[in-house]
Amino acid sequence: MAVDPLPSDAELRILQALWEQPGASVHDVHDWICTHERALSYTTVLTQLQRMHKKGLVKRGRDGLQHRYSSVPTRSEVEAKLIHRLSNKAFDGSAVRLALKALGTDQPTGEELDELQRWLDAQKDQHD
Amino acid sequence: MIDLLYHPLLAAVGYALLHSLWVFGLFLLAGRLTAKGFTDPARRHSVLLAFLTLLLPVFGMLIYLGWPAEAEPLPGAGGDASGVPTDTPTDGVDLMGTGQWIPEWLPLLSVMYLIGLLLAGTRTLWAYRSMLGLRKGSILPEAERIADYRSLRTAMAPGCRAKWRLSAAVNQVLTVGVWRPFILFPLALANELSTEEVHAILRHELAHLRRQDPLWQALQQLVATLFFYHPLVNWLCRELDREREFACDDLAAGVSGRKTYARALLRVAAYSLHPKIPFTVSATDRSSFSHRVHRLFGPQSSGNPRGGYFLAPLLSLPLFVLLTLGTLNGPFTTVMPNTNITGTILDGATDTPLVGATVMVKGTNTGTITDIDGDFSLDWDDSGAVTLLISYVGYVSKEIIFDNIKDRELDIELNKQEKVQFRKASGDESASFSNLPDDIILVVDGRIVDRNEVSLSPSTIAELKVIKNKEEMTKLGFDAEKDGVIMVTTKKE
Repeated sequence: MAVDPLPSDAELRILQALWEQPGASVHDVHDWICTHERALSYTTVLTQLQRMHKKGLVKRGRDGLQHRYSSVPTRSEVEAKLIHRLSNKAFDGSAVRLALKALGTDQPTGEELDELQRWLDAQKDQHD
Repeated sequence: MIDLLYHPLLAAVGYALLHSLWVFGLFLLAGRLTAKGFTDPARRHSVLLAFLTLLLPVFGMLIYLGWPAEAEPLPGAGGDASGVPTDTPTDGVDLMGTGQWIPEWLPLLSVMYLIGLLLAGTRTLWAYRSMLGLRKGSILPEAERIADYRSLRTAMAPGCRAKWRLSAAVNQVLTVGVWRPFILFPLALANELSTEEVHAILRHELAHLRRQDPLWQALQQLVATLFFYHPLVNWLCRELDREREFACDDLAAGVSGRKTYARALLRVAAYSLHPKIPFTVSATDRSSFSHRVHRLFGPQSSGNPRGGYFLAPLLSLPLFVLLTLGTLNGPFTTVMPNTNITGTILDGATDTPLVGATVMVKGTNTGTITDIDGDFSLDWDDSGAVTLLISYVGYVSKEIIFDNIKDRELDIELNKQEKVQFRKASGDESASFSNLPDDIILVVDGRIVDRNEVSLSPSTIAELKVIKNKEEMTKLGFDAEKDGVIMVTTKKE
């Protein structure tokens, strides 16, 4: 896998399920997605898993009549890839006015933050 | 097309637009003044939002009032399809005086407004769509973290079902969605922050959810979109944004501890700056973010009880009278003077600014703290004389009588307190006066006490006064034979 594309939303859902329970059956993956993400049909999950196996995103082993799946890339690998690829087009906060931003509506500047950090450090611990 | 332009609705909307400029202005100022009467930012937020929402019926009323008395406004213009005889008056109150005349540009104004509204609406819808798109590519945190989050959620916002998701596509912490909101963390940040810091930020977002802020914000956005042309509506929306954050800060900082909370906020802010190219950041003055962090350590919240809220209903009363009687050409109600006291607090010896010094209006709970440059700014609605009480740890407090409205810039210097040396009794923290010479009278809280029996901890002493002047001693009724008097006032708990 030289330049592998970012996993799609559907792939991410399955990878998450497999990170939480490595060696899961299709049934387990389906259950996890239904409880944590959204209701999907069993066959959708099955098809997706087969496709991902072809792509090399998941590996599978036989256990009796069942296939047991586990993820090939680890969570941190995928996270790093997501961060690296998306950092360029990261949402800058101005476009989506409807979202509630933890930082409030106006962004502080770098110098302002430095000043604040110094000021905060100077605050007596008795404040805590 | 031309016929449509002469539709009475367009004239009425044009009329409402024109008059909304000043009616809304009065209304929103009244709202702001009412809100100032509350110290609690959550209350201030509710009041401001209520006034903002009231603009909708007020606008409706203005349209009603502006409905032309004539169904067929201009002779020969074709008129609308209703076919009402020319001389039949409608229900609308005749505001134009002449009853026949409608300025031709009123419908044009409405058309311009409708075009603007289309653009503003498209923008809002686009924003909504892109907000919902943020769910794409996001993942759930690890199982342990989800369990942590669930217990936080139960504590902060019981009954809330919102999920916590991580995404690489955002660079700051957001609560996204209106009906089924979720909390979105930048993926990298969630791994960078300590558990306490993550919790502090999560508490802030959960506070939003507990207060149903996504819904309120959608309402606010709706009003802001409808009245996009009005500068004061935008101004009030910014105030609302601020109060909303303050209210959540209070809810979150209380549990997390102010310092941890402030640190976490700073780290999120620092992170959100990082992906940007420095020169794209508009760096002019301090953002309200600084104010938020300083406020966490202030003696009290920034909003202060003032006389304003008594006057606010009075201010809106003539408005209602005007609206109901339909005499909209009445005089403007005078807006009360708003004194803004600004100044700088400096160290008397070195002239360096004192950061975080408190400036209080004596006898009230009104006050503020100085910023990084030692500057402060205090709104004061009363034009009468004000005594400002300036204090800072380790410095002698100062009182300044401020009665001249024109003199709004103050430079105040504070001097360092001279250290009172307490001789520590062995093993305990209390100050001992037993080494005082015999001819010194020791007075604690107005009573002469035996210096060997008194035990005072330095932290309980509010004031220490030494009188050596014989005349003053006699005047106060002390034995002038003695060398002096030490008067100690303890703090009243």
